[in-house]
Amino acid sequence: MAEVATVVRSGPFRHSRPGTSRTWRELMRHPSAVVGGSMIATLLLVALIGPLIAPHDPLAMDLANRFQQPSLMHPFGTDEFGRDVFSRVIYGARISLQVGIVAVGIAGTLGCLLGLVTGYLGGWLDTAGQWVIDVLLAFPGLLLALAITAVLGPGLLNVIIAVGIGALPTYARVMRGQVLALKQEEFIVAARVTGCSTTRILFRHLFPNTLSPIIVLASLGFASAVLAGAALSFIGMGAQPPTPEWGAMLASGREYLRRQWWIAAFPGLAIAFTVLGFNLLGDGLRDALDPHREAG
Amino acid sequence: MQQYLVKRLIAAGAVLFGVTLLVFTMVRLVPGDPVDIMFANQPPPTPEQRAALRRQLGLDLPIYRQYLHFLSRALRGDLGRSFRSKQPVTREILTRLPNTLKLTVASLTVALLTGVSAGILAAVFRGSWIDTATMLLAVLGVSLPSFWLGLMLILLFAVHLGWFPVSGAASWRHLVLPAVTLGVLTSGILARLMRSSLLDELSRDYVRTARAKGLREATILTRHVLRNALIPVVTIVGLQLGQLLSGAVIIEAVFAYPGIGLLAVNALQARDFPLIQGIVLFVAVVYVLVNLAVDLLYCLIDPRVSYA
Repeated sequence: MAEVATVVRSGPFRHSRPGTSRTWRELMRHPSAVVGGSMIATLLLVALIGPLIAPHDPLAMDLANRFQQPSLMHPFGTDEFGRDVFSRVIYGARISLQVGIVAVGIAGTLGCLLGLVTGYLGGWLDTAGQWVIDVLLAFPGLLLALAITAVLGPGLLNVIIAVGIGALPTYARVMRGQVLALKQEEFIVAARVTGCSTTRILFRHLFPNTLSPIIVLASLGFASAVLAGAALSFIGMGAQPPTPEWGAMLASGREYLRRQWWIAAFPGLAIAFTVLGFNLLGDGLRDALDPHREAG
Repeated sequence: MQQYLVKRLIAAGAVLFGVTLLVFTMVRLVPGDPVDIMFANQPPPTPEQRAALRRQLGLDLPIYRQYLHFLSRALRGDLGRSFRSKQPVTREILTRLPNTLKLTVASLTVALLTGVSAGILAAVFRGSWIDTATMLLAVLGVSLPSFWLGLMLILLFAVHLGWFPVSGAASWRHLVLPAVTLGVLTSGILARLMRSSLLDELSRDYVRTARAKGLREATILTRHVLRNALIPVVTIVGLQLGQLLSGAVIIEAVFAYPGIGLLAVNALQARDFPLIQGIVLFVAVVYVLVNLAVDLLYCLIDPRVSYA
């Protein structure tokens, strides 16, 4: 028992989870992870150094140069106010990443906390938690986010909150499943027997061992959050003009689709690039973090 | 089976109760007095009118009685009246429902035909260029923003080629572009699922036995493997039905297709809360019932699933 106590207090256990170096090796061998990771790295770089590489001010209007076709001066053309679409797409990367990071942050934090606590404590708390998750999951796809946006009103921040809450139940369910599988394991029983507090067991021993599927979910969830945020902006509930948000740009570009296709085409391609990157990375992460996969 | 059915019905009932509670609470959380919201674009009501309206809407009752009032009316199919059109919400929804159902069924057909075939192709030619190309298309399908894809399809097939109309719902030709757009995402999901499910089945002992008996690959696939591999696809199809209903919100807005989705977008933009509340409640209830049906169907088609 003294041995167990020493081990429990010295740090968290790792439960049959692939090591970091093995995960990294697996990721590097996975073509879709490499491609997806490179796409996301490019996107991050564009978002970080956007102001340095954008050739024009994304909000600057130039009515003399409205509806310019893509050219060397304006690689993605200009919109109905003569604004440079390329610069707006570059600045849009920041907004989309912001939507993804904050929405996944809200969903991940609240969802994981709900799943962790209710799954471990069980009893009526678990029954109530499960009911809440089931009720939230009864709203398919964008519906919950739409309803929340209706209550909060249009705006980027409200869309981020709505998308985050809309994704919350999936994290809670996955986390709860992980906790239920792990809470009867010997290392948790040992931690309990040696007098570890519930908070310590939850956050020091259980939580680190449940992270693999959450990381995969977050990567795929990032893609969904970017898509949902853009979709809500597209129907006018998200970012408002003149914010260079991809969904809103697409919505204004559809008015001119017949002749000035570039106004809608490039923001859409930017969304597809981002979502594809996160989906490919998520696929790679799922394989690399799968403990049942043979290490090569 | 009976015990499972009762348990599942109770669970669905509890979820439906939660759904009504959440939808009711959401509308009450909207900042401002509901009467003021009703009169947003009109001259403000007199105090007498305001008091009469509050009584008529039941807003003078305690909150739990308001909920019971809402629930009993909803159970009788009365979801209130639209602020904008002054029509009953149920009538508004039911008028648009056939169009949305047509779109959902058409897009599901597109998704099943393309997704399942692509998944079978990828699994049969595993490791070949066909597999790589099919899976690449599938991941592209789940990554493309549907509202952008819809616009690009309009540009190519409606504006340039003139094969299909840009918007509306007058004939089956109006249905083609929205159905394809909406079906692409589900098709990608089904292709990936079908491939992995088929590969899983192909590695089982009974397939090895069938091969050892000298059965042709085509016979093994069609007579034995395909049926088993389709079981997880059934579950996903059920779940996707709800996703398609909610996905139709954006697609109907792109194609100005007069279904529940377009009604929802218009209601959102006009802050028509009774209509938003009614649509959200309606879609959520349909989704819960579809899931219940799929769960029961799953038990019937797969004897390995326990009723416990």
